[in-house]
Amino acid sequence: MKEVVLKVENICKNFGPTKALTDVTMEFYGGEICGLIGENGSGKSTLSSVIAGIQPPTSGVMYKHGERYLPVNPVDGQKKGVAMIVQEAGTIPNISITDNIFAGKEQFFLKGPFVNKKAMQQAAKEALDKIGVDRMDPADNINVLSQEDKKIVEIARALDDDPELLIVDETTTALSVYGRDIIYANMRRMRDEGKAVIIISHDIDEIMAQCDSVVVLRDGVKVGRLEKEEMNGRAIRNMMVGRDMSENYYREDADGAVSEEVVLEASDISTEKVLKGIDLKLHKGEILGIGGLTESGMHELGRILYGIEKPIKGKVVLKKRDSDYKITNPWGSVKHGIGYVSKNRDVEALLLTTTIRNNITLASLKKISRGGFVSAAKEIPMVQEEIDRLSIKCNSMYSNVNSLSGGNKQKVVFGKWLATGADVLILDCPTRGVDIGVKSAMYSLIEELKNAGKSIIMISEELAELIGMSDRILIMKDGQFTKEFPRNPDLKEHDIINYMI
Amino acid sequence: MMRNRQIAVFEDNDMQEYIKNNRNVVTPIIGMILVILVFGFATGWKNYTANNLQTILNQSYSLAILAMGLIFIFAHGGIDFSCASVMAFSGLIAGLLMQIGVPVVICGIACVLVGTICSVITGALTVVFGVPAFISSICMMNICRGIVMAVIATNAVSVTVDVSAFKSWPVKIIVLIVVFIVTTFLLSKSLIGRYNKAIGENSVAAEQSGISVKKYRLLAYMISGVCVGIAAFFLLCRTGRMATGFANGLQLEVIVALMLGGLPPRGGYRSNIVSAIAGPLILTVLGNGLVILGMDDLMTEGIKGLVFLAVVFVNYRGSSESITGLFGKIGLDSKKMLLK
Ligand SMILES: Nc1ncnc2c1ncn2[C@@H]1O[C@H](COP(=O)(O)OP(=O)(O)OP(=O)(O)O)[C@@H](O)[C@H]1O
Ligand SMILES: [Mg+2]
Repeated sequence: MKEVVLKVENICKNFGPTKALTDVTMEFYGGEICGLIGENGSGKSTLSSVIAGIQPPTSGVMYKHGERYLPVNPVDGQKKGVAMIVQEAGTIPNISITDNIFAGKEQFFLKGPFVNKKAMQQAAKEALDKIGVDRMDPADNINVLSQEDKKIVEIARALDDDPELLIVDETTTALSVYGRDIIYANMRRMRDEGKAVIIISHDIDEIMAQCDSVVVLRDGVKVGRLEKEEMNGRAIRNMMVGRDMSENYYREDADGAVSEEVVLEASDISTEKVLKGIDLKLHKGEILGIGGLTESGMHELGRILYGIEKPIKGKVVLKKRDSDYKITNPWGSVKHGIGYVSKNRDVEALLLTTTIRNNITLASLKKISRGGFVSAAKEIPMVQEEIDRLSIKCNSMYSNVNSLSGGNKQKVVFGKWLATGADVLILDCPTRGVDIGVKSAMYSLIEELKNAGKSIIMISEELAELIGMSDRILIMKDGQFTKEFPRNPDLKEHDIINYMI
Repeated sequence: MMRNRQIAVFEDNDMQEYIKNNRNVVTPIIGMILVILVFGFATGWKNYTANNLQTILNQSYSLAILAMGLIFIFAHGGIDFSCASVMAFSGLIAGLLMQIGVPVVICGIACVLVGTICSVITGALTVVFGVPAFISSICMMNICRGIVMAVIATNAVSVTVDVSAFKSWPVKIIVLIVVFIVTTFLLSKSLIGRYNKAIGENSVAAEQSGISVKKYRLLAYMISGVCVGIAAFFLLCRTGRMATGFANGLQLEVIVALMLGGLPPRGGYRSNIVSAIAGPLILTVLGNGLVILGMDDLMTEGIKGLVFLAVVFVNYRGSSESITGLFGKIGLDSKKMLLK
């Protein structure tokens, strides 16, 4: 019998009228990686934040190694051996990597009344070594790091004082293969040391590959636990959504033929950093997939196509029926019917501390205003339509966006651009963090848009999604396209990977 | 049958969230009523004699008009210290025009124009050339004040024509109400207001959602400038002459008043015109009441400071818009500049 590291008993958590968790009872065992899955808003992040001490439960108790465990804050939780890597960005901006790793633990590096910077930097280096990272200098400011490296700093911070329980909340979706491997390796190391690991993800294949058991939450209630032997994609999916889900949620047709008409054309795009003379044509009614590694430059390309960044050479032109429009800035792009879903959701796409309503209509305010004044009679139905269409799980359209679960935030961003009725959509990792049900809904929406004659560029690190949805896939490596695949639903991921690395 | 969705969807849960989002509007109103009652009671209602009421209204009048414009700059996360000096400068121009016999109404329009132009110049320095808002506004403050001092050192400027219409309460109240209605609509319903608030929430996301951030920040300065001009003209008519210290001190009082009125220091969607009415009234009733109670000036300032701290503490405690917001903004601006 395996040792129970942590037991939660009858945990409830309410946010006003919202019941995020109802009577959740479960055990986490040493020497085991346990997957925690469920639809968006099912309470996964809430449960893990209760365990980590980020927020107290409304009722219920927890036991660690049989003793009552009640962390008052995350630092206390960490002291008691529970560490968590959060879904949102968890680093403190403007300070060094070292200070981030040891924030709140400076007292261990005192030399007289002062903090011994040298010793702390040395320790930070060791903490990074320990998790197998050597590509950053702990003295650097955290701001220079990519999103992925910031996450890695969080991992170093979480693992520094050898927790007995590690919670990884939807971290892997933001990471490239490199970052994922670091996380997986550390999870396995902890398991082999007899410690407990909880991983949250919407990627069922990932869960099946990494976990020894999986617990499913639905609407804040635990619906079941599957052991390694019992795990299979279908069973997990059905448990999550509570009904039979078809496995195939991509487009069904194999027809990649699109109109000859070009709507967006980029020629000879180069940037200082990565891109080297990119040419690209997007046709009317086409879903163009762009795949590659994070650092291949495909995300920069998306930003340039939309006008957020300027290339040092080359130009992007939107072909209108009567004239061409050269893209130079985002407001021009929006005005001419282009939309853009950023990969960096919380920082670039959302107004976190205001309402869902204000977020969804932000890009359409001009459209629904007359003489410079916004029409509430048009605004409210518009918001309601997107909430219904994407089934955004919220208390009200006047709820703040930061009270939403991660996946529902993503839906708000998607809804914002659907509301504009844009003709060209540039989607950078559009389905990040959304559950399979919503994913399939988003895919059929994208297909509907295509059928309505809209053109879509889908930049994604998920090859399955590119293969399943695109009329054409362009693979990017080191700032250049290395291969073009026409639509073929039977394409295999490993056929593509060769062109990426 | 078509249901009226706008009404149908506003249900209890909407109401709850709505109230939660607008707490910072309700508290200052309650605070205002409390202050009015408490000081009435403490002074045996002596502070609301016709005469003193006029003093209170006069003092809060300039503040309120200034505040209603300044809110737009605050909404996008900016700050402006120049408004009092710009008031003096535009008042000076209006006064000079009166002296050479230009009709009063034209003088008033000129006053508003000059205020607008100065404010837009401050805005352009910040928005177009990237000078931090508090630096550019301090520059404008010094320039305007300097010009005023230089001019009136050699020739006295005073109101030589009949401006009684602009001193009468009905006219002043009507103007106040008009400014209130216009700014309320602009802030809550217009693109200018909505966009500036969105920029205050997250300027990167606002820009990526297709908002021309620079343009709308400049428009905020423009609105503020119009209000500065209006406030200047009425103050000039009331005082009857231009002095070196014309309106001096209002630049800080208006910011204190806005904070007392519950305006979030970082701006954003919680910015509400109510702050520009409640704040100035709280501030003046408080100051005036203390004087009537026999406090000397220094004590009054001290107590005002304490009340400010208390209100800010209550309003912003535990919220993400901490009190450090206001000061953090200044700090961040200067850091950005040092880095440049
Ligand atoms: N601070 C909050 N205020 C109000 N409601 C909240 C708050 N935090 C979470 N909720 C609500 O609690 C529910 C559970 O949210 P939680 O973040 O735990 O979901 P999740 O399972 O992590 O989903 P996702 O996969 O999308 O990240 C949601 O309905 C969410 O709206
Ligand atoms: Mg979550």
